[in-house]
Amino acid sequence: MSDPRVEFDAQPEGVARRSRGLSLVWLLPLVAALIAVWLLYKDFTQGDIRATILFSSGDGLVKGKTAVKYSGVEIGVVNDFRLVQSAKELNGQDGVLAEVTFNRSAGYLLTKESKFWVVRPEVSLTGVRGLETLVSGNYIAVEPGSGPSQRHFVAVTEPPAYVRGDGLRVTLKSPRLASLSRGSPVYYRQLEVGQVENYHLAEDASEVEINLFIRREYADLVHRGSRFWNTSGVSIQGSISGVTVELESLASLIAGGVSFYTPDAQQHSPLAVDGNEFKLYKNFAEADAGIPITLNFDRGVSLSEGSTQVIYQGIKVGQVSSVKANKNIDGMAVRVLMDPITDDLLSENTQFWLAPPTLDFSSGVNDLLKGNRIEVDLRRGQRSVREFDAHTAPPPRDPRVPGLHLTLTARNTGSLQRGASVYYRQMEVGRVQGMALKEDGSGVEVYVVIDPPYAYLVNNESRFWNVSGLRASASLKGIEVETDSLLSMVRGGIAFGSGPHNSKSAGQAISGDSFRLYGSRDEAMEEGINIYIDLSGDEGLKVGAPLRYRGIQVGEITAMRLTLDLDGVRARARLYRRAERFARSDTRMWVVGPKIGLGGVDHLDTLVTGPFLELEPGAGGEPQTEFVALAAKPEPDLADTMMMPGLTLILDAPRRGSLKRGSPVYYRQVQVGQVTGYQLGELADRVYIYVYIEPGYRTLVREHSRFWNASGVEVNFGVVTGLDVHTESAQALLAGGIAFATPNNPEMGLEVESGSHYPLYGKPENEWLLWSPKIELLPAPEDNFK
Amino acid sequence: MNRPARALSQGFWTCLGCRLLVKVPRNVSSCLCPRCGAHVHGRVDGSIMLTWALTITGALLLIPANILPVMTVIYLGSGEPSTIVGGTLELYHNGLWGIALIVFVASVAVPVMKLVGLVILCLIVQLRLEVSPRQAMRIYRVVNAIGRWSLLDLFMISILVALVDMGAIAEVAAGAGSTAFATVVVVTMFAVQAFDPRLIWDVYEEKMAADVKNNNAQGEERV
Repeated sequence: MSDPRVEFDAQPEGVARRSRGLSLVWLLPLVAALIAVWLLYKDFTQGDIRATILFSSGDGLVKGKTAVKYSGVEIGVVNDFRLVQSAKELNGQDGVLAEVTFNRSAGYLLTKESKFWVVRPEVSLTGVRGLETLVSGNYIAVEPGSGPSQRHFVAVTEPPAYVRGDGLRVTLKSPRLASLSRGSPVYYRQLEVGQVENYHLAEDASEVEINLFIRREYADLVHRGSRFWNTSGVSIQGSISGVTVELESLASLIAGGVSFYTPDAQQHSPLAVDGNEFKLYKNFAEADAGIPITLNFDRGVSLSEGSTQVIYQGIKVGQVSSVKANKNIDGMAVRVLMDPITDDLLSENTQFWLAPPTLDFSSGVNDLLKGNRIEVDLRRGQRSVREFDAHTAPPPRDPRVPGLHLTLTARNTGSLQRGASVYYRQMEVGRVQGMALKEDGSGVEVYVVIDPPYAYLVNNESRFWNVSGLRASASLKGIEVETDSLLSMVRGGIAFGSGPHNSKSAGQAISGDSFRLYGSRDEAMEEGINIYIDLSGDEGLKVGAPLRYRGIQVGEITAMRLTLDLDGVRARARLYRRAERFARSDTRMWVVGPKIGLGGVDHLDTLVTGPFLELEPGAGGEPQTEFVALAAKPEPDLADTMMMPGLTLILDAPRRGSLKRGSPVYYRQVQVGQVTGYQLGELADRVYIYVYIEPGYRTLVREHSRFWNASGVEVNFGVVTGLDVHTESAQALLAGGIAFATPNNPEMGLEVESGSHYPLYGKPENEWLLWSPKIELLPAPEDNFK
Repeated sequence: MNRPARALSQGFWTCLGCRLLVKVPRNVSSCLCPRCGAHVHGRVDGSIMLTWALTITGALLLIPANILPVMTVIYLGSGEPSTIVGGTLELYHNGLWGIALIVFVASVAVPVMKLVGLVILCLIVQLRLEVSPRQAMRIYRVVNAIGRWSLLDLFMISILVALVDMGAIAEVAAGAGSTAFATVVVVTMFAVQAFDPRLIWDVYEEKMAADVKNNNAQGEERV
């Protein structure tokens, strides 16, 4: 068996193996065991907690998907559902029991008071909530509570309103909920400081209790004396006294809201603590502290609740809070909240009255239209009164106002209003306090007060006039609108100034003085004379039409009336100062109206301004106040023109043609004179046309001069000559005209005198047009140095 | 009874390096191979102990492998880590029962079977159980064969991790469970390697020898 060649003498291992106790390989299971044990321990201690939640409906819950979230973090997931028949927790309704595994870390949430509910996407006016669930699916939210740990829960249907966070929780009591809802904001100075947590009926169902949550950083704004009011919706109270739109924010318009504030008087009241109860007022006006008083009006007045103010000397001291008819329905009982500072001034001597609306530009647009206001005259008295009989009209005068009190009498007040200003040189120096009819009804008494600093401006000779409204005068220059001020235009006003005979010796006016109130400044200041003018009545003159001389107004028509026998109109006109000399016997006046004719257009401006009376003073004459107006401007007659330095000729024409006064007279198509008039001859067999040649050209007219009528146009048409239009001038074409020619030097004859007669030919002969005499013209009268 | 001769009983060892039969010197637990110089033992050194250790390690590591998530599929920013069993169940619930079966076999059944098989083999050797050595060898062969197939799951995870990487849209991340699971597979494969199947036959031989002895003794008693 042994191999002779190979000696199997195996080399023994040098050293026999020591027993190494336990082999190193056992480290592996040890490590594995450690890992496994550690993991098992962790899993056991930090593994999921199983709990069940009973829902009345499993709507939107998905097995294995629906998560339980707290603070936005998933803390568990629904594993499985079981139907529960007639669950006693749900009053015998069938329910769905969800088996939920919670993270170990969420264990502290699983207590007796914890509430679970399903968050579904909710879109409402107040906002969109749970929108993330559109994507992620509904989830179960939890609101942790306190109490012993628990593993079985019943879900609530509504999310608990409890707002997580640190803050102040107070309760409001209100007769109505008034569109508040959970989450409605709570505002302080329009800043959102909290929200409505919850609301519920009080135990006796007599009112609603609203739980508010105010965030901690704002909690010290709430005092025991704070007032909460409802800012839900929008409150619009409109009237002439303005539209009050109260809207805290658009969100509160929709979601409702509560505002609160602390009246100054309550700033030192103790801070509110959790659980304090407050009254919820309907609106700010109610919440606003005030002394409630009642005003009784003996008739219905227009007041708007919450916006009509009570004014004392321009200061708001109260506000109307409610208006209703009184018990007998024959008047109104107005409840007013007065500023507490008026407390001791509400006495038996205090008077309230309704101030009518006024226009006032002086204090900005918002007060432009002051609606009805209640004004009060606060006076101290013996006892404190809380119910007053108010007047519907203001007292016409109030002697307590400092200043100079004057009485102005006028036939009527124009547009004067109570409160209108009194101006001196357009400076406001006083006010109209009121107006009253005189006892006999013959006029109006206007009571004005001049402010003390300006009282010295009024003396016994001052004149007061009404500056209400505006005066417009229009002419071709434009339209002038004159008003003392925009304010006086609307509200009326009174101006005063020194009278026309301002004497240094006039004494100061004292309170109680009476003055006459003139209708206008002119009336007040004018000293002119009245004259009477007889008119035919169809001239279109109106009262106020001016009397003018050379374009300057020297007077105006102040009245017009029919004459007694109805055959005309008699106008009374007043001549202004310095125009009295027009009232003389030889003054002529006539009506100037627009004239439009082929010969031209005259006085077109009177189309706009209306006709006026033109005056022309005579050389002298006796003073006279009765005049007869001429129908038109008096024409200069032949005698007048004879007196003039030029040459006056009489042309005998078979017909007048289109000649008229003012028609031009041409020599070689140069105007050298004009027609001054025409009349029928003595035997009516011809027409005498009076022509006046300017002095410089009188030498052109000689014995043998030929005159012809240059009116119209002559049109010759020949085959050879073509169309030949001949006219003296475009003006002559329209207005007619006369041309003349003088024969050449030998035949022309001598110069003529005024009054010479010439025949007027119908048209020129060709020969006349070829005459070209050399005639030396007279120098113009100015060239005296030759 | 003509039983096959065994090298061990003849005083020969096989060098596992060069398969040389080595004549064993007296009173030596190991020697060096005269031909290739490797250590030569009669049987694999500490085979049973090593197998036991690795088997227990694998069994313990199965716990984290099944508790820890093997992978997390993050789809559109949300995803849940899933364990082996959870993933299998999910596949099954989603109707992919074929894949679920494969995953289950590869990652649940096979490791458990391997560990159970190894434990059985170790017990047979340790406790000299009277088991048909052929059955035991069958167990050994099966355990040896199926070892590597558990890695299927890990390959799938690694491929997914490599492929599905789309940033925020979808992402697959391997979890700690997969590491533990891979360790289980590797450790059990080592355990199978460490087991010396000749020990089964040693046990059998001892039994047979004991039976012969008993028979002889009984014969002597009878005689």
